[in-house]
Amino acid sequence: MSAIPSGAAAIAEAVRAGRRSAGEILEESLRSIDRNNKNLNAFLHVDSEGAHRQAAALDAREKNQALGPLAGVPVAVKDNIATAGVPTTAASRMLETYRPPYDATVIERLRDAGAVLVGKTNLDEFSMGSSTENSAFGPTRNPWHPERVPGGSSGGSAAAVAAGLVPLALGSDTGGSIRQPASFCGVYGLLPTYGRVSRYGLIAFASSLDQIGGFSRDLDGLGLLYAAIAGHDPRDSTSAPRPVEPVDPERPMTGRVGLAASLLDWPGVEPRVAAAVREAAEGLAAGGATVVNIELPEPSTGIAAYYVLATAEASSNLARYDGVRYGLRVAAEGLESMYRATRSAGFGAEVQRRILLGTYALSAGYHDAYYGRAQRVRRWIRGRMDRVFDSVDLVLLPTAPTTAFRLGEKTADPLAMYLADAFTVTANLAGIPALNVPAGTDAEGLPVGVQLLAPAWREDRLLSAAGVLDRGRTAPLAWPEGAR
Amino acid sequence: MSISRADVEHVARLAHLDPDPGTLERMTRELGAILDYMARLADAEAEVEAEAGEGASAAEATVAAGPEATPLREDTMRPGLPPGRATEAAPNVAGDLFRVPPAIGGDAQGG
Repeated sequence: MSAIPSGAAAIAEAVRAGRRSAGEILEESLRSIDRNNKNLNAFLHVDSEGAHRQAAALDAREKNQALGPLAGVPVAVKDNIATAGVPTTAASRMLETYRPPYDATVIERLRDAGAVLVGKTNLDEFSMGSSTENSAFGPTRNPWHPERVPGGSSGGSAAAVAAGLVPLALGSDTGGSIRQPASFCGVYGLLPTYGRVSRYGLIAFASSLDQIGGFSRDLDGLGLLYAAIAGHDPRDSTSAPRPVEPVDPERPMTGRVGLAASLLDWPGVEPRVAAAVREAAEGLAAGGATVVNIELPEPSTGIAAYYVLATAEASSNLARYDGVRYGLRVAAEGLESMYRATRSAGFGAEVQRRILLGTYALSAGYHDAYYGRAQRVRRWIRGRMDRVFDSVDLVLLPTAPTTAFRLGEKTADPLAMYLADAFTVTANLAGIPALNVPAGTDAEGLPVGVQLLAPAWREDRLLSAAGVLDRGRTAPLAWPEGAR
Repeated sequence: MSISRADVEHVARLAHLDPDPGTLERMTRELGAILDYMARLADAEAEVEAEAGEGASAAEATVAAGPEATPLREDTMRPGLPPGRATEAAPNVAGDLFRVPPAIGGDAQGG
């Protein structure tokens, strides 16, 4: 019997053709999770029973019944995306026992596409963090190095895909939470355009910035995942009623790519990261693109605007966790004391820090100095990006200034942690799509990533350019030791 | 534009949080450092205004989250979760209702 294929496209094809059953593919994924999750802590909950039901339904189909594009593909889901009857904790004590009464739209769409949802992955509590160390249920470890973080906040999903536990995973990205862990774990990570993928059922952090996207080891799989979840959803009022341009990593790439060379000298950018971006520029040029130098907004301006806006929105969104309608309640004599006791016990340190910061930024006397100003700077950044895209088709940047840092290295300094998002927040502030493309490893064997940004709705350009880089690789992408 | 311990206490009250003295101390320090960093927004805004010229609209606030304005929905009734399902995840219920401690009279520090 031949080995079970590892890429999502190959799995779906084998299941559709009847060469492999969804059941045996699932067993292989569950065995990998069983072997590795104790060390990685990538999954918070494995829904073995639900996954077996889905696989059995696929395998019991009538002979002439067509199967979807993700038939039998095991997919992991970040634990801030609602799954009916299955724990959805946002890695918070506040929601430790919560089981949503409904599925997120992306969950329905994945099931319709034939995917088998195997479980829920670890994250920084309510997606607030860049290392997955802010999870109330312990940090996730990077499959490339056990003493390194996988990035965050979608660190569990990135680690699960890098370690080969699943070929695909969903994440969410508010300021880099898909792309930065994808970079640290050496996989593809796509942030779609704001409004492209329904956020119905996503536990809100900062609603004007949050977007669901995904992780894959290969581009074909990423394209299938994106196609399955993209498109209008009337249940999300920010979802765009417009057609989705088909993606094709095989399509040639002949446009203009903007490289902000000056940012490669930005403080804290590791030489290997800068070198990877330059190599990617050469790779795109060799593939037919014209690379030109561009100027982008100073990253520290974006970071400042982002952390004001994101925390302001978070302080409002997280007001709903009050011990009344769902989640934790800490008993107290009066209503006000119950609110305070519940929220102080249920939220971890980083979430409380961000709620305080956001409440301050919105409070009387400070609103215009922080929130109003950040909104104006956001508008300016968006305008700058529009102008950049008047002259180029894509922008090339580092994804993160560094490779994966050590567990505990930045936990004592919140601001240092925020700076890990220096190159990722621009896309969220502008509402545009962006992709982490794995670009080999550094001298310590840690993955390096480069980031592509495209104008709104042009995810197709990101995948085409990534296809050019993929075909130009001198060696195939490597995987961490022990990974399938 | 740094933040005082009294400011943090005030904001914590607004946010229904109850940090202990040690946490309050640490949060004041950390928030101070973060807000110092955010002071660069003022410089950025000044730069934006200078770039745009006096009276230009470049420094307007963002009005829509996405690249396009959010379309309006039909103003029609849609079904929501039935009461029994909406309350099933609640920590304390009475029938189909949420049960909470008294808002008046049960809480010495109530507000």
